[in-house]
Amino acid sequence: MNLQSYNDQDLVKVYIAGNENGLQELLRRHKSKIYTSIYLLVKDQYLAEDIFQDAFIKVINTLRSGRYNEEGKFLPWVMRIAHNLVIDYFRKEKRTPIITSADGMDVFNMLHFYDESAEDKMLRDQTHKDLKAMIHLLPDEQKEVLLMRHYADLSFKEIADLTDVSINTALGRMRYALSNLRKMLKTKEMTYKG
Amino acid sequence: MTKTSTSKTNVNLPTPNMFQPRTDIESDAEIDLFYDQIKGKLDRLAKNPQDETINKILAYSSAK
Repeated sequence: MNLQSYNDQDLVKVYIAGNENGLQELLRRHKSKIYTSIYLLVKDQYLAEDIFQDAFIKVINTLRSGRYNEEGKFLPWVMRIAHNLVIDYFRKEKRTPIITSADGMDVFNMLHFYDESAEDKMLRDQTHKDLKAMIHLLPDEQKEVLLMRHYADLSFKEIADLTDVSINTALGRMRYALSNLRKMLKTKEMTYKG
Repeated sequence: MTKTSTSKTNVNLPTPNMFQPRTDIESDAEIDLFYDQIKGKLDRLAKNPQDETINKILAYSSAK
């Protein structure tokens, strides 16, 4: 059975019917979107792994118990679970995300780009670090929308539902996030030139 | 005798700031263009969970 051609809702049905491959395909399809969103919110690789795992344990428990009722919207549903777990974590820690340079092993940095010079690589690494740091500097509500839109590929309607705001507010937050990133990058460029 | 008058409205008159250059406000097109420019860079920040985490999830599922 080639599950790659199935849509999410069909994969959920396959899984509920007892075929583990359904979950495996859903994980393969969405793991990067969900994990990246969590990771860029919590800024810690190990914590992100834990939250990702906890989110899928909740997914499994809900699917197995027959309580799933999202009518094909699997990804927004998992994103909501992950989002709530992130909020729970920060609430429990009684702190808001802080900016830290500490980082786990970066998959991106392990990739090899044979065609580029050492200088190009340094510049790419620096841009990569700068952009990640700038995303962390965004206000939480702007960062959330940016991550959900770009990495999780959610619609503004889905983001609005997930974060309990209007679609216009979600759109506005995305715009502000991009505007702020643009300003930060401009400032950074001026620093390099100056 | 009935007095008539014509109200004077400012609807079509230029406001003081109308012709000021709006240098501090970015247009939607500028924002869209910027987003297009950084999409690739944002994509490169994407990460995957470790295989070990995926295997734990699948093991939990099989055991349920």
